[in-house]
Amino acid sequence: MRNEVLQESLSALMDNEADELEVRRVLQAADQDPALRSTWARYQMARSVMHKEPWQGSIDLSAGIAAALQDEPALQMESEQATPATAQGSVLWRNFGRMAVAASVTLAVLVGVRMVNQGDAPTQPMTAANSPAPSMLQANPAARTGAVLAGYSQNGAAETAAEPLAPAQAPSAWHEQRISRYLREHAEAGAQSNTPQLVPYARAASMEGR
Amino acid sequence: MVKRSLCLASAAVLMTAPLAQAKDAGQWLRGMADAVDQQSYSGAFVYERSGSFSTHHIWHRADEDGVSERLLRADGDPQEWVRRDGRLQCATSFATVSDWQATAPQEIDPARLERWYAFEVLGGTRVADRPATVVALKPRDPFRYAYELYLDEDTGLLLKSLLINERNVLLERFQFVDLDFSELSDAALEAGSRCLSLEAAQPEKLVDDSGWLPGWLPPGYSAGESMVRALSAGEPPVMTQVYSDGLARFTVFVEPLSEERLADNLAAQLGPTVAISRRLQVQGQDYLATIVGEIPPATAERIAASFPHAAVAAEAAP
Repeated sequence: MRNEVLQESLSALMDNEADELEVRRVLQAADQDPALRSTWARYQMARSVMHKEPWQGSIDLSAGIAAALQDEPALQMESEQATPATAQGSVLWRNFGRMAVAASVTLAVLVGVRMVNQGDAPTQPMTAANSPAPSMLQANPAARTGAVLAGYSQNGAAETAAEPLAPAQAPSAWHEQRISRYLREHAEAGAQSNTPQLVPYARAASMEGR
Repeated sequence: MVKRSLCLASAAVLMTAPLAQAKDAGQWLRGMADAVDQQSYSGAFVYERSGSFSTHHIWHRADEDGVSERLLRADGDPQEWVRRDGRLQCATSFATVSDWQATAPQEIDPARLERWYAFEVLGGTRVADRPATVVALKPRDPFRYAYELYLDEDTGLLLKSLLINERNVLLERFQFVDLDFSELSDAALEAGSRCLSLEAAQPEKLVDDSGWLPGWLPPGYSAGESMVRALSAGEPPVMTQVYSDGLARFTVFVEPLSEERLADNLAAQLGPTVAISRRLQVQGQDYLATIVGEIPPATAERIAASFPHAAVAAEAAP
C-alpha cells in the first residue's frame, strides 16, 4: 500500500469523507504501523485545535470505529483505477483537506492563522461542498482531472504533511501579534461598513483569540 | 437589423442557460441589495472557513425608521452586535472597535462589477427551505476570487454565499439555515447586557500624508477609507488604506519597525484572507507594509512587491 494513498485515506477519515473502503484501509494499516497510529493521533489533535474543541488526545477512536464497522454489511470493493469521476473529485478535496490539517498545526495569536516566512502560502481549503446541482464547484471539469492535485503533491509531500510547518525563520512574536491585529482590523472594518451582505460580519465574528 | 454583438450575447445566454430566466444576473444582484432595506426577518445562519465553523442568529427589521439589526453568535464566546442604519451601536468582545464607520456604505453596483466578473445565472435550488436562484460571479482576471450567491426567489435576500479560488477550492461558506419573515418586536432587537455601547473615545486619527502607496494595484480596485492612527497608546501610528473592486476588499497597513518591533517578509493565511508583509527601507528607517484581504495570494504578493520604496532583502535582516 503506497503511503500516499494511506495518508489520503486518513485525511478523508479526519474530514468525515472517507468511504468504508478507506476506513478499513486505515484501520488495518494502523493495526500494524505504530507510525501511522501516531500520525492519526496528531491529526485528531490538530482537528480539535482547528475546531477549538476540548479533546482528550489519549482516547483511541480506532477501536470504536472498527466495532461500528463490523456491524455494517459487506462493502462493495472497487479498484482504484475504476474510481468514478465524482469520487475523483472527492480525492481532490481530501488532499486539500490534508493541507488544511497540516497548516492548522502552526498556531498564531489568532486561531487558525498559518504563517510562513517568504514563499507562497497555498490557500487553505475547507471541507468539500455538498452543494446542490447548480454549482461551479461541480460544474468545472478541471476539478476532476487531478491536474491540480499533481501540482500540489510536489509541494506538499504526503510524508511531511502532518509535521508542523517549520519556516527557516519563525516570525517574531511582535509580527505574529501584528498579523492577527491586522486581520481583525480588516475583518471588522468590512463588517462595520454598511454592506448588504452578512459575510463580512460573519468573518469578523468567527475570529477567536488563542 | 439587430447588432451582431447582441446576437452573440443572446446565443451565449441560450447555450449556458437552457431555461429562460425571468431576471438576469444584474437584476438579481440589484434585488439582493434592495432586500436589505425592504425586508424584515429573523433567522439563523452558519459561517464556515478553513479551521472555523460558527453559528449565528440575526434579527433584521426594515421599516420607516430605517434598518435595525441585531447579530448574535450562538456558539463559543458570545458575540453580539447591534446596528442601526449601518452604524454599530454596541459590540461584545471585539479586539478593535475602530472608527471605520465613516466609510461610505458600499452598494452592490452590477455595472461596475460586470467589468471584472462574468455573471451567470446557474439555476435554481433550495436553501433554508426556500427556493433560491444561484448567481455566479466569475473573475475575468486572476486578481480576484469567484463568488456563488444564492438568492431568495421571493425576496432577493442573500441566503447563501460561497467564495471559490482559482483552483476551484471552496474558501468560505455563508448559509442561512432558517428564515422567518414575520414581524419583529422591539424586544427582539434589544441588545443583551453583554453588548457594550461604543461610546469610548476613539484613538485620534491623523491625516494621511505619508505617501505610502503601492506602485501597482490590480485593475478595478479603487481606494476607499484611509487613515493614520496608533493601534494602541504609546505606539507609532499605522497608515491604513482600504481598496475594493466593489465586492472584494483588501487593506494596506504600513508602520515603522524598531528594535522592539522586529518583522520580516511573511505570508499568512486565515481562511479566505491572505496577509503578505514586506519590509521596506526609507532613509535608513525600516517599515513594514502588509496587504490583508480576500484576494488571491499572488495578487497580494504583487501589490506588496510594488512599493516604490527600497525593499529590504530577507537575508539582510538583523
